[in-house]
Amino acid sequence: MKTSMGSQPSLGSQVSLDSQLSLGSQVSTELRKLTTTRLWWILLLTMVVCSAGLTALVVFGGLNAPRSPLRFDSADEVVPAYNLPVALAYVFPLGIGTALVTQEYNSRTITATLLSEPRRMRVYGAKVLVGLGTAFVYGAASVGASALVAAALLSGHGESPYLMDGPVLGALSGSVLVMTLWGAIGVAVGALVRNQVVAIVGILLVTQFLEPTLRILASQLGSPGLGNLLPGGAGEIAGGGTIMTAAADAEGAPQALGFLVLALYAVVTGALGGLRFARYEVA
Amino acid sequence: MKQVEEEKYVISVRGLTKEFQGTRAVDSVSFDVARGRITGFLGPNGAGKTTTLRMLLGLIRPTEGTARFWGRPYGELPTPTRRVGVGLDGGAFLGGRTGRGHLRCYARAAGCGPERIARLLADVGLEGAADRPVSGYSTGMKQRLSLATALLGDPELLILDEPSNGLDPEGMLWLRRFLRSYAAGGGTVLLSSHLLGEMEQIVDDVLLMHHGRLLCAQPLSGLLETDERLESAFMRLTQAGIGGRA
Repeated sequence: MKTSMGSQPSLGSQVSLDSQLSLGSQVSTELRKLTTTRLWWILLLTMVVCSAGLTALVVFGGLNAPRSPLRFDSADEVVPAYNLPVALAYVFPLGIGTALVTQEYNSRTITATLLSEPRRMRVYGAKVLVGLGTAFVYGAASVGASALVAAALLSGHGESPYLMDGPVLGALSGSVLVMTLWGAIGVAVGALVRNQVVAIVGILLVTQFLEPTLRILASQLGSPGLGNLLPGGAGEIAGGGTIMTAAADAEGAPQALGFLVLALYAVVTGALGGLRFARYEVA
Repeated sequence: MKQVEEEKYVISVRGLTKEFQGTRAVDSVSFDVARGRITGFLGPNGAGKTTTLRMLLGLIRPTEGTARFWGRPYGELPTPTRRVGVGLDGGAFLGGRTGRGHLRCYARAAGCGPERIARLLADVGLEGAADRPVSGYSTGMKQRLSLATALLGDPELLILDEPSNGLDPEGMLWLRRFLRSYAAGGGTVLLSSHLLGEMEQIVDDVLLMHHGRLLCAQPLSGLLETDERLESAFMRLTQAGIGGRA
């Protein structure tokens, strides 16, 4: 090591010395944390490839299989073909939102974070905002890529893609909003669970096993609408319905109800996560 | 009078206590850290040093007592990392992030630009490794990155927890010289360590912790008897039962 640091460094090279950090500064710090690791683009790339690939597989199958349940004769009927991302890939914005918090606990960088900004609700708020923004980008990229794939396959097969029709546009924009909300829920889940491995396993168990089972169960018990009150089900309704909604026989609920239910989940988990984040003892 | 004390003492701790499930990890600790001095916060592992530091910095809630920096709790300092540089958790980095990336994450809050980051990296000898992931760093390199993080905001107070862990003899010598020069320039240092022999060569004032209690708080010169080493003084104090548990 050199000894040149022995002299007192001057303040000359420092950036603005505002007396108190703004929320904007903290958001910028959280964004920097996200973009100085590879996780964000690896997850984004995986999400886009999975969404577009599954869309290609399902739409191609729907167009060519002799007994496919998918129909492409109207804008309403084509919506499930466009909505595969919101049915299957919402786990990615949920995951990146969770990682924004659990990575800090996992690596113990939470200490440096809270030393830089001791006002914990400001840190949490910045993480929620970055979670929302990142999830929006994830949603827009995956929904956009899948929509292009679906439209190209439909056009190539001589069908109308209905891409500019109201129901499809409503489904696509609804899907992006749903994905965005999942980012905020992810941040809350991260603050509530803290342990990265437990959070990842928990997310996969709940979204891929527990909730689908409960939705099928609700459907079998004659109350398929109950499945729409679960977060994944609500998200799919808010996105305009998916093949999962159709499989659970829970179609017909208004998009607004889906948004309301999912937003309630976001607010409640967000508040609980904030409380836990504020009370955490960094021992 | 209070104003004078605030000017003389950078940190004032009064009756700081922490109980974990009925066990007193820190028991009514009070001390002051004087401006421009290197204060060694010393004691064996498990003495309660790190818990005390974490209470000081608002990372854990004290069961009782207060800790103030220039008369205010840490959490009420505006832009705290521009006045207080902290090196806790010498290995607390995200493995996939580069050394420079780590500094950039905390630079904004500390009011530090890219030029100063580059200079700090060079000063702690990490220039060549700055753009490699921290997962490949040795313990000593992580200590140096931790120190660079603490220095981001050009602080007037440094709080370092076991900074010599993992440093080679050359690194130890460099750290000693750096801290001396930092204090000579008006900076204040609170340094925790269990390495009494090493600290004897660095510190001006001593806070000795044992079993969660403060055994003594005084200048090193006043603590040591003729030709006595710090380790011997520590043994003398613990065997005398000062600060032992009731």
